[in-house]
Amino acid sequence: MPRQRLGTAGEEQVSRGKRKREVANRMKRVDFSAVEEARNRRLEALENDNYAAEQEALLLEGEEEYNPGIESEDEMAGRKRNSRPRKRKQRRRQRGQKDSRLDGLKTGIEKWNKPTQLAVEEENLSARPKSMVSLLQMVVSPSSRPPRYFCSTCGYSAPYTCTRCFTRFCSVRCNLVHQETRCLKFTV
Amino acid sequence: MAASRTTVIVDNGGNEIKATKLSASDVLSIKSDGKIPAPLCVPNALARPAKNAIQPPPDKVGKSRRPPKYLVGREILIAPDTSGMSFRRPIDHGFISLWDAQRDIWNSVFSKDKGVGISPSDIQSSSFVVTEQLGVPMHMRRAMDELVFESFGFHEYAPTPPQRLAALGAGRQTCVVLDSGFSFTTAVPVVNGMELPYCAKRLKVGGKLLTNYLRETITYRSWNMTDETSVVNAVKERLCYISMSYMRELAATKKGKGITKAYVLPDLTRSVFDPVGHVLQEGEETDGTEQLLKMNNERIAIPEILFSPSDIGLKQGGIAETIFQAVESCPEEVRADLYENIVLTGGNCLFRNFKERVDVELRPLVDSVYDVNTTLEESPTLTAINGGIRAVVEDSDSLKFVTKEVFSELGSDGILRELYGDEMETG
Repeated sequence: MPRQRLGTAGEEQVSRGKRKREVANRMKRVDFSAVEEARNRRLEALENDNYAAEQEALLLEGEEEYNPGIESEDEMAGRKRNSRPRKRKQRRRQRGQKDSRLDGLKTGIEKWNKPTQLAVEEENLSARPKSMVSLLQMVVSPSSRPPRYFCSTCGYSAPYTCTRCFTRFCSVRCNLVHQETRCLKFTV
Repeated sequence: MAASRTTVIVDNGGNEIKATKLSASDVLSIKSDGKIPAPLCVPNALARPAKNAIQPPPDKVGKSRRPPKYLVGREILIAPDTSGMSFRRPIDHGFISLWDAQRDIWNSVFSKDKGVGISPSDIQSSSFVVTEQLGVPMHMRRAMDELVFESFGFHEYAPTPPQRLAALGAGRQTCVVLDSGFSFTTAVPVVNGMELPYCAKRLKVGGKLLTNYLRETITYRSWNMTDETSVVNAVKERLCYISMSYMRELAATKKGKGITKAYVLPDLTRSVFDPVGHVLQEGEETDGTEQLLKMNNERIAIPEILFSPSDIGLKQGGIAETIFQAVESCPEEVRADLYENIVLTGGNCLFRNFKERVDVELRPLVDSVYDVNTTLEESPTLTAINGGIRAVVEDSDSLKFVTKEVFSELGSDGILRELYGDEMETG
């Protein structure tokens, strides 16, 4: 966040002129590709579970990450809840040994964890069997109808376009709200 | 597949797992009376309650139990306080990306007390039918083998596209399955019980996107709902519907001719029996202290994205065009059959007017020589699992099983050859 960086107490005096210049540059740079980028980022954000943000917050707090080995191990189907193995595990951990039973259980399945986007990007398409379709071949092409435009503030039909970021708005009132909140002043 | 084996069928949806266990005797009884048992439905997620959430009562008297850090599967359904709950979903963009989470959830689904009840020793000799989306990246394809054979140790399994099962569940040999689910929407032509993978089309709009978009909208316009996924989802399910003529209705709402409804947000200091809130009924008294959420054009604008993704800047055609493009890429001789049998499944079909809107939008696109006929399944979320049950009972060819022996001898490549290899030679 440039605003935060520039706003630190000690630098303020010195960097006021610099700040003006930086902000001006940023505002100048909002062109069509930046708008496109912001839109894609927003669409991508709509696919998020809350989990990503949650994890970030957790890490900041210094709490441990989700570790299925200890709790869910008891929940394995058919496994009895008793304290013996846990004690054994504790002792082993104290001695710095690995719990081989736990390792066997994990079978390293978490090594396969990978975001779908990444897996799709990394994929070598020529290595796929012929009869196995790839995601890229399944994409629906754009609509034949012209796009409709709706006000980013209130959701109704929007005849006007923000001069700075190409977002649509319907009235002066909505435009004011838009400029105060969503307008792409500091993105890029 | 040997009919004497116990089979576990799992429709691994992005939001909800549908699972059933069929033993040999179950198969016989379904054959005789045709009654399909209701599957187990649990969220496909690990949930972490908020720090200050109300704890569930200890499940056994006299046994103080530390509240679990993560709730798995069915535990989420009975959690008393969903506010601020955060979810860890194994499925990302429709494909499994967190395999350890998926393993833990399946564990709970298979377990005796919370799931379908199959013991680890039974798993060794059981068959497993699991849904796997078309176009699965090779990485996930291999990981699935690993999970099923190494972590669980099933004897054999059949990864099957859910649309193939849905066609069976709807009782069709040839049809287009429009599956509008949590992660995305697909239209898949199925001919003689097998899908045509190269004609399948995928639209990147699903229930999750709609919920998140509603959350974004509400947070921007009225209440901050960033943490309240379950409430937003309930609002979406109860108040949103598909408009038959969007622009006209939108203009009408602006003039105040009303579709406006108020939703009472949950207040746990008042009542713990209303964890996700409720729609304000007509004549219901308010004392002015409830938190009310006014839903106006959002009621129709949110599901409208399914039919017009360009409204949020997504450059894809809507649902009608997805079906159209899928069928038009098929050979000409099957198109008439396909247009006459359009099966609508998936959770988004539960929006009011879904089928009517598909009819209205599809007709002008399709050549007038074809008849267009859509059917909405009775319980659209269960079509695929019911098809899976049917396939197992009828011992259908549509399930291609691969065994653990092949996996331990040849690894994932061997499995790949079994699943896709013979098709490769014929074209």
